[in-house]
Amino acid sequence: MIDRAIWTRGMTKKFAGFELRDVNLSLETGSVLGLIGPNGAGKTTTIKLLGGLLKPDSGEVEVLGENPWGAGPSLRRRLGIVSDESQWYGPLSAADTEAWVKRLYPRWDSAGYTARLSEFGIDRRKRLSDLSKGQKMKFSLAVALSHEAELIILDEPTSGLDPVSRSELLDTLHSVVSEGKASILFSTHITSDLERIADHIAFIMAGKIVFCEDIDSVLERHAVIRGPAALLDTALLGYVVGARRYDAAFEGLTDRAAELRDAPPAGLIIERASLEDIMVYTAREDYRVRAIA
Amino acid sequence: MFALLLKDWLLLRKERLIIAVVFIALALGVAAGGAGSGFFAAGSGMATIILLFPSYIAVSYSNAYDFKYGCEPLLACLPPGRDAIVGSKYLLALATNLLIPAAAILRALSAALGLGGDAFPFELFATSFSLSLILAAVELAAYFRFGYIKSRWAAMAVFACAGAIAGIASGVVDTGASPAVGSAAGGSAAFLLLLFGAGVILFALSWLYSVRTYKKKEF
Repeated sequence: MIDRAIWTRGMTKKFAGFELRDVNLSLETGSVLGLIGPNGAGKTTTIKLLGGLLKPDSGEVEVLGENPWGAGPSLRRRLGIVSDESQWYGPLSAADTEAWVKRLYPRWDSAGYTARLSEFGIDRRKRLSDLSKGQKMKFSLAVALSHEAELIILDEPTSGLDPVSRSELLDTLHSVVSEGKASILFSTHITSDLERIADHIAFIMAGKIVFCEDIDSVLERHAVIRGPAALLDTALLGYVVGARRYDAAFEGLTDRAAELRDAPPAGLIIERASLEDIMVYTAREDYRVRAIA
Repeated sequence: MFALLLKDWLLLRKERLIIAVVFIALALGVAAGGAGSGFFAAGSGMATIILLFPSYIAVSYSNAYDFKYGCEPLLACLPPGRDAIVGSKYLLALATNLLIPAAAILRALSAALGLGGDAFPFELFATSFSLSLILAAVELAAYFRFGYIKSRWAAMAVFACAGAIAGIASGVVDTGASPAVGSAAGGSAAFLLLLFGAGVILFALSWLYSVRTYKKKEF
């Protein structure tokens, strides 16, 4: 039994104009890791490295106990990747696709595949190119679930989906997680999606992991703070990750919420931070402390 | 690898029809042709080129579907592995190339039944088979190294060269003489043997090169 579905240490990949540096990630078997970050932060590069589509320049990468780069069928049969960039063949129907894909997986569950297609409202005879974006994502998920993937990696699966399709996809993922069927890595910039299903959060920015920890700890550690702008000129500034000034007030984010809650300065309001608050205040250059000080 | 060939079989639904039409047209040509005068007559450069089409269409369209639907990363994530992905394309080329010997058998039967002349243009089929191997070798090596768009240019260049070679072959076979090879009968055989050898060696080297290249490819 492998305890960690994903484990990386110092994973680095350089491109012209972009570098993914010293990425340390860990996903426990049976749990959900949400990978968040702004566009161009390195989420897709990370996923490609984990999927064996890119070779790391340095560092160690283990997916289900194996190095994904150059991995053989034994790993790939246990892995399901759902991504905008890994599309299925448009001219083929779901039935055609099953005809060739099932030969790749010894554990293929035909009955389960049919049931999932039906559940997702996908016509077996319809060409995949005629499916909506949401249905295409669900189709990819149906394939991954039908070969009983132990690890499902989803790259921006909800991006571009309408709220109803997003909600349905998240419900499906939620049921997969509840049944303990697979470990999931879910990359997105729609952070509210993760608050519903993720156990752990990794925040990546400009190619570096800012944090990778339990979602409850992340939400507990951070808080949105508000108060008179004059407070930013005091020792409070040392507690602030990022903030924006209004005329006479400010709103910001702290990653030392417990300390501030214990002894809040006069006039300071402390509220629960969402993942979006954390991402926005951490990522925006103009909200950084040196920009507002 | 069989799963990937099945995938191509399913994808190439329309192209199979085109290939069938080409093959039927060739079969009709066989039935109508006579030795030295028909479409399938020894030394017919046009027939040599047309015989390349089944394999060319199958390989090119298989690559085109991968490109159009952005399926290369998907395939690289699936269990067969990259050597199997490469292998399936080369096997597809070989399998569709077998239509050339099939046409040759048809031609022989036709001749035996007295329907299509009395000569069996072995040279024509041998030239087509060898050129088809060379075409697939260059196109697939370019595809796995540089991607689909550049492989199209490579295929077009080979097609142009194939036309020239078919023309040379036609001359060699018609006259039985080659400037490079001495005697008349020996000239034709040596040319065909050289072409066939080049085709087989190039195909094998291309396969090995593609496996090596594609294993290192990043998406």
